[in-house]
Amino acid sequence: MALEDVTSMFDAPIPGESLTFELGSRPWQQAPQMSTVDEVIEYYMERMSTDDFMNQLMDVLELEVPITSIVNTMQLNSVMEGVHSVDVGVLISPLLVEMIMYMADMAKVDYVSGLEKPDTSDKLSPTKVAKMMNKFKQEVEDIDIEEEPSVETQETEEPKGLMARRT
Amino acid sequence: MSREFNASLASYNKLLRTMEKLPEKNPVKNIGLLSPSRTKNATDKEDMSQPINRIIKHFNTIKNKRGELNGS
Repeated sequence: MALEDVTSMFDAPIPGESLTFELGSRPWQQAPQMSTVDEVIEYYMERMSTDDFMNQLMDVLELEVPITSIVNTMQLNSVMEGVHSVDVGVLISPLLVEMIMYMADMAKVDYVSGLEKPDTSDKLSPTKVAKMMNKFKQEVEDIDIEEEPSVETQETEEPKGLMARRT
Repeated sequence: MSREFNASLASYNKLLRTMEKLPEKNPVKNIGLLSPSRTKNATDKEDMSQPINRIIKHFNTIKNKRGELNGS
């Protein structure tokens, strides 16, 4: 077993670690700050309408991160912070997906919605193509280009002897 | 990453399926002056008390806006 594997094994939480904290000391163990769907929608719409959020979101979308993954992360994070409960988060997820798609359409940014069926064809993803291109470039740079010997034009000596044929 | 369960994706698909199952609103048949302009739907108020119906309403609004933006 490699050393890296051993360290990652010990990085994991100890079984039962979550039970060592006092009950209710974590935000998600308390009553959520918002309990209705309308309150939560308003909360997200306020957050999503800021310029900072918009800029960060467009950057992430340009990296081809699926919208469903972004929304999942957003709502799980809010659950963790005790803003709303898990069920409200799951309920409003489709709305957030649609909202982000609308924002991306408005900003004319190409995005991966994550709603498409996984492509099983042999088509290469842009990331793989970029990786391969980088590797190819590196290989080309590593190759020492030998200078080709210049083709010297042989000068034909004109025969000078007595028996030489005159042209 | 792509193989793990995504709650948002499942929720989105589930919402679309729910919307497909919703009964379509019947068009008003009477055209007379005294006929009601809108058929009374006793379940309207009850529907809005359900969170999923409120979500569908918001969802449809945004979806229509997106459709308008994309010209479809």
